Amino acid sequence: MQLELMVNGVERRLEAAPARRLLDILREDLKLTGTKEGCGEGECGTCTVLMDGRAVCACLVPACQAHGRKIVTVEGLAQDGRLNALQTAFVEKGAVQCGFCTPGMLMSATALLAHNPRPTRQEIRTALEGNLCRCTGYSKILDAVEQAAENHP
Amino acid sequence: MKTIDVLTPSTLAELAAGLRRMTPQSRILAGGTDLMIAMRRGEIRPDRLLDISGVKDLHRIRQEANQIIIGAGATFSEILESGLIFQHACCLAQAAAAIGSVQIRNRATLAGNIATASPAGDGIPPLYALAAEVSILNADGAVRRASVEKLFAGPYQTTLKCSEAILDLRFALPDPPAVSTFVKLGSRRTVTIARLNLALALCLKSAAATVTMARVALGAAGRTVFRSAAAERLLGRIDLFRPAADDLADILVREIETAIPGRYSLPYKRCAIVGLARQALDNLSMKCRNVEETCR
Repeated sequence: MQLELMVNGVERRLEAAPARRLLDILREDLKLTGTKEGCGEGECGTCTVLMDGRAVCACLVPACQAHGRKIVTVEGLAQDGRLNALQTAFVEKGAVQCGFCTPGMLMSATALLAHNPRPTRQEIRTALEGNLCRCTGYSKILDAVEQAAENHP
Repeated sequence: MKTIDVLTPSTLAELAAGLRRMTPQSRILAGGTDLMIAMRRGEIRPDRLLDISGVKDLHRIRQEANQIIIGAGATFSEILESGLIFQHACCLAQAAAAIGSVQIRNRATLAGNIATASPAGDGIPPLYALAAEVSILNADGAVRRASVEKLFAGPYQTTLKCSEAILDLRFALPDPPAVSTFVKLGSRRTVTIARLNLALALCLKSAAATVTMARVALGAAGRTVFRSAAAERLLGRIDLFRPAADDLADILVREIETAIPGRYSLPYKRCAIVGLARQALDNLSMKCRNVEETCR
């Protein structure tokens, strides 16, 4: 199928099999390798991207359902080559260790803060339930999201 | 992987036309949270997918007369955000909140949960408790209705034909005041498959916590979700302000022993249901008090 989608604000057109995973389209066809593949089964959340503003696992979205949608990946967060407030908070709070879960954590947190700029710690936990991290023990990630929310204008 | 033919209808007429081309190997695609995994694992190799997500009419959650109608395209996130469901079907809202993660709830649909027909599917016990019906479209464009309870033939098996698609799930608004709850136990607190789940719905005589109707549905405790007539009889005669959790637990233990005799998980589930029954009745008692206070 002729697939048209908006990725990080840029209109993209490409030929894709309709059941091809959005994850493979992003990583292999569009060379946006910031989005990672972990389990490939919607459990680990490291492939999380925003689709029309909602966090989704790119490993579970077929091309036909991404058609005409707005996708934001981790590459879309920095502005003018500078990390945004959330990314900066992750660095400052030590929320990044091996880094493999980080793109997914950032995207789930971005979706949360977009509709709930002042989340409670429990609301942050709920928003990140679908993102596994085997390094940090999570508390530094929660701290980072809290800091980003506090610094939010 | 060979290319799969994908049909993407945007109207009900196109959906019916798509159903005419379905074979026993074809699959309907809604949120994809089960289907994409099964395809990738090679458990199924569909010749054709019929993607219903583009049919706009199927996304709505609405009230018509005294019925709440949930379109087959409605996701668990949409159910969770729906004021109608929150107000009239607490058990379903609680189940939606207990399913998967945000990412899964943003994609997975209630209708897909029904069609997958897992014995542990969290969307199913609430629909039993609400006496929900399913609307089914066939390839001729005709719609038939069936009780959700009649839909399941066994684990992961429904009575739907390959040329049929779920259009919506619907239930009648109970005579107020009514209360319901859903509780679940998994191997971890969230993002977990139920080891047991339980939905309770009660209709109350107004201004008094006297039960006029009770429905109790138990999941992950047998080949399919099932209702417990004994538990419904018990709840039909109790005063919810008096603890009845032990009696309810005794009944549900016997139900599970009958449903899965000799199963490796029986010793665990026999104990676990006691806590779940207590939690469910605590939830309901609290709601009944609220009802009573509102009526005063």
